[in-house]
Parts: sequence; structure tokens; C-alpha cells
Amino acid sequence: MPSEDPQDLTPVQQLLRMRRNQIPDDEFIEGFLSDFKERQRSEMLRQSARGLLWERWTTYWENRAAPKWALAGVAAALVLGLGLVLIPKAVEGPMGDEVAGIESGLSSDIQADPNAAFGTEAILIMGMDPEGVVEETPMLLSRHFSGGYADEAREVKAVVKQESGQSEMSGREDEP
Amino acid sequence: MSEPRANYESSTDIELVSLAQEGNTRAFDELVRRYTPKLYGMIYNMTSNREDTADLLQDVFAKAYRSLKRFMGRSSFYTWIYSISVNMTLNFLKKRGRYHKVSLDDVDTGIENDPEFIKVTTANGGTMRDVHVHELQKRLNEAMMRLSEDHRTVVTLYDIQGLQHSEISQILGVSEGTVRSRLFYAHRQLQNYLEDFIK
Repeated sequence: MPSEDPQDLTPVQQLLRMRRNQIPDDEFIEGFLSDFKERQRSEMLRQSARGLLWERWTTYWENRAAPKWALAGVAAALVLGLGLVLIPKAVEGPMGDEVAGIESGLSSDIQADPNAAFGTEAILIMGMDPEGVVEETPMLLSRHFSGGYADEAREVKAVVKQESGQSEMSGREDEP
Repeated sequence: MSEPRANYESSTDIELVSLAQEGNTRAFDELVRRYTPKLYGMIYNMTSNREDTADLLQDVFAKAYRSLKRFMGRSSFYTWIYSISVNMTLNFLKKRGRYHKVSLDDVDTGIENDPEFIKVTTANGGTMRDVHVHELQKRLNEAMMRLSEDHRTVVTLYDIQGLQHSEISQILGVSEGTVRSRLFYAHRQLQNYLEDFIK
């Protein structure tokens, strides 16, 4: 027990200790007890089975000696475990089937009817006449390098020009 | 047939607990009778409100009754029921503090002013109804409410309830050193709040 000698106590402690002698009388205690019993009875009637179960569950864990962080760890592991079990099921479930159906049906649909697969874009593409619209201009890389096709073409053009020039000259000379 | 109450009055806590664990509600009633005065005083000095005290004490005994099956007797019933009371009171005070700040005007003037409850006696047996003491008790109540909940708890358990440091340490789950330092700080704070009244 804390020191009982009033000489050792500070005035504050002396004042606090005066409250030790404040005790309720028997009447108060009996009244309290009867209120307590009444409350217990009415609670039993009011509480649902689910409420009782939840209360028992929380009371059980509150009385465990395990520290709070250990309980938090167990709860986290349970959530993780449930997540692992439920998430794959969710993919295989209604949405999963839908995705799987789309995947398998897509290739066969394209083969059967490309328009169905690509919609209006497919119609537009197929309706076009590539040869009528696109102008093809042959382009060879070699024309950019000396000794390539371009050089040969230039040489040919020069020869043709020369020859035509000569024939023009001779034509004039031949004129009367 | 109901057994007379006297049969239980002489029983120890452990005997009453084991009877209550077997379903004897009268044994539990005796435990309620035995611990109501102490626990009421403890909760009242923590909350400074009579209605809250009565409600909380009912919750404490209801919880103890539900958990009694799992009470293994590793600690005394006394320590166990005090732990439940302190934890529930601290939780209640946290909730109350979260929703509304208690004004010192709302605080009851003191347990000694409760007409139903009081039997104020001094150590020498005489009734103490001194105006100065009444005023001091009122101030003390206000000063107690200014302490943090942790400090108020140790002051209540040590100075008012008369528990030992080791018991308080067991109830609160802190070291004895922590109990002593909280007590020292709380006394100093109270001394400061009441220095105008205590010379």
C-alpha cells in the first residue's frame, strides 16, 4: 500500500486520499445490482444472433494474450489468403468467360467475315480501288549513288540528246 | 431454492469466480457487490460524471460476465476486473474527447456531493463537511480533469484507490518506472493547478 503516514504526503496527496473514504452505501449497491440484472435480461432479448456472435468473437480476441500487432498480422494474412482464393475465381467467373469468348471468337469471325470484325473501316478499305488512286512511282535507291541506276539513266539521256542534236545539226546542213 | 447471501459473503474471489464459471449467477452477484464501491470510485474519478460512471460500470460487469469463462486465474480477479475497467474507461474518454470537449462547467462538483452515493468519513471516523475542504475538492476535481488520461489514471489508482505500483503496472501494462514517473509528473501538475488553494 502507498505510504500511510500523513507527514510524508504532500497537501495534494492528502486531499486525494480523502476520497478513499468515499464509499457507496448498501442501498446504492443493491440498486445498481438490480439495474445490472435488468439490463442483462433486456439485452439478451434485444440482441440478434449475429450481434451475439460478433460480440463473442470480439470478446474472445480481446482476451487473447497476443499483442495487437500479431492480431493485425493474422488479419492481414487472412485478407491476403482470401484475396488469392477469390481473385482467380473472379477471372474465371462471368467476366472471365466473357473475355475468353471474345478471344476465341475473334479469329474465326475475321476469317468468316472481315467486315464484321473491323466494321466500317473494313468496308471503306475494301471499297477502294488501289490502282486507280495510288500513283506508283518507282524509286530505286541506287539512283542516289554514283555508278548506280541514276547515273546510267543520265548517261543514256546524254547520249540520246547528243544524237538528236547531231541529227538536227546535220539536218540544217543538209538544207538547201 | 436460493442460497442465502451470507454463504457467498465469506467466500474468496477465486471461489466465487469458479462458481460463477459453472453458471452460478449468485456468485457473480456477490462479485458485483464486492467490486462496485471500488470500481465506481475509480471510474467516477476518471470521468467526473455520475451518469457516465453508472453506465460504464454496468458495461464493465457485463463484459466481465461474458469473459468469465476465459478467466484462467493467472492474475487475481481483482487485477483482472480493474484492467477491464481501466481499459473501458480510457476508451470511453477517448471517444468522449473525440466527439466533444468536456467543459469544466460540465464536471460534477465532486463525489462527495452525490446525495445517493456519499458517506464521507475521515480517517478518524468523524464527518468532514468543512467549507474549505469542499471548495478544495471541487478545485481538485477540475485539476484532475486537466490532467491527461494516463496521468489521471495513475493518480486515481495510486492515491485514491490505494493500489501499489506493481499492481498499477500490471493493470496498465507498463513498467513500474513509468508508473512512478507518471505519478511524479501528475502530482507536480496538480500542485501547480492548486497552488493558490494549498499553502
